[in-house]
Amino acid sequence: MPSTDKQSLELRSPTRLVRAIVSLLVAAHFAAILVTYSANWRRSGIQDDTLTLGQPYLIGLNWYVEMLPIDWNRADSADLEARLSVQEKNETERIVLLDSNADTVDRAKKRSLLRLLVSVIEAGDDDGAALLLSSIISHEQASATRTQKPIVSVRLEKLLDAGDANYSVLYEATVKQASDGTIQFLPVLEPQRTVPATRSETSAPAA
Amino acid sequence: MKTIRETIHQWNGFWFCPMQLRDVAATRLFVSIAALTLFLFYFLTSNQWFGSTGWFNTSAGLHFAGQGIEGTGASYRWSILYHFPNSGPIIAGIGAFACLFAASGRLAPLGCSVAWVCMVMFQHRAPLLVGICEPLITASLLYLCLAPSHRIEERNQSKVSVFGNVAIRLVQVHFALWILFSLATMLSTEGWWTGESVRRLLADGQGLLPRTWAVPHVAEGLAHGTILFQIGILACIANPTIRSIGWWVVLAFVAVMLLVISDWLYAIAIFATASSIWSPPFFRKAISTS
Repeated sequence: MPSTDKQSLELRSPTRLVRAIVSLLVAAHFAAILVTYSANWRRSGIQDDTLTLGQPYLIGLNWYVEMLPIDWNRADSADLEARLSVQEKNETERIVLLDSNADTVDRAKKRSLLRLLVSVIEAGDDDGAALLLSSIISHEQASATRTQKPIVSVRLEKLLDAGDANYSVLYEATVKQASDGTIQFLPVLEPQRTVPATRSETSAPAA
Repeated sequence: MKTIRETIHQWNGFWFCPMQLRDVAATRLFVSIAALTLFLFYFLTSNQWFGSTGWFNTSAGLHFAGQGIEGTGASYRWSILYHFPNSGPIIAGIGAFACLFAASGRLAPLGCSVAWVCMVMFQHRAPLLVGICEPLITASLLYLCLAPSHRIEERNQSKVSVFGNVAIRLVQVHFALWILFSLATMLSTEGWWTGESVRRLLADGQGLLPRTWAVPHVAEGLAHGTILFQIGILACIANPTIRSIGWWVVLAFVAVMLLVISDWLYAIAIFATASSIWSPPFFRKAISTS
């Protein structure tokens, strides 16, 4: 522990009232941190109510964490190996955009993005999945290393079990791009469904 | 009654004793270096991730922050990256500059505050993509805003401060809670008891170890080691008689972490925050001879 000057304790310590106030604040702060951290992956009703009440403090000052991979990796469904690939027009080979085995400098973020994508698709959040896929495809098409051929299909595959040797298709869709840049996905497995990939930009962002 | 008085006395001694500003400045130096490294990462990758054509553009960011949905707390997230998606490198540059101030000890509270604001903007932009090192560094920066400025090389080494002590104590307690959080989360997963979580990470090639090492015995050994080292860190914090070996236990924990996931930013963050409890031996020697 760093050394302390105990001899000057009496001279320099704050008054009893200040000490009491600071002590209460410190105790409340760490109680809130404890609730936040313990609710990272799963939470009870009491935890949820407490966190909702404390949002201005916890989120505003960035104490809040959610789905943080503090345990490096979770042995749950969303963490099984996965990859997102696309196919260009008139091409037969698929290009892998995101892979859980990536070894780039930002691989932790790529794994988080892939985990998020798998989670929203498994949860049936069509709006979220379409926005995420649209963002990824737009990024890929804008990247300087790419050919100018448009992307016509997208496929998300993952291992259904840790012992599996082959990937299973979790989601596959045809990509339709309008001239104004909006992207729509026509799921191959459910052709009757069209997921809009646009979101109203009129709502003000968090500020 | 005596026990309560003793507890209050110990509590006051822990939180309200003045601390030498040189010790405070040393921790701030390490945390600033960790923050600087993170800003370098943001500088290189922010447009690729949060730019107008990034992996995670503004529309996706707003949706997953819960914008417009009651109870998600999205209205408390403030980041100009929502309004100016391509401003990431500028924010990272300002943050890095502020870290230099904080590290030098000049205008340190201001440096820490500016660095904290800049760092939070990146985390509020994509809360679900935040890495494990980021909350730890951000929290430490905010705590260190309380500590007064002081340069390590300053001649007057007897300067002390109660605010400096409170700041360091906050970093120490937060670090202990963080290790407890990590340990408890790992123990709640079956894969950390059987070694399967580590085996899968090794098979993914995430760490420094080659994929061929993803065999049960190695994975089990590393999984048990990770758990034991975290228990060891907490034991060293709680027990003053073994506290002196804590630095080496932290070193061992970080070494295992690098072998399994090689998250260098997390390694730097752990070292920086652990320095509030244990100054690295090489650093102690260096400042004692200066």
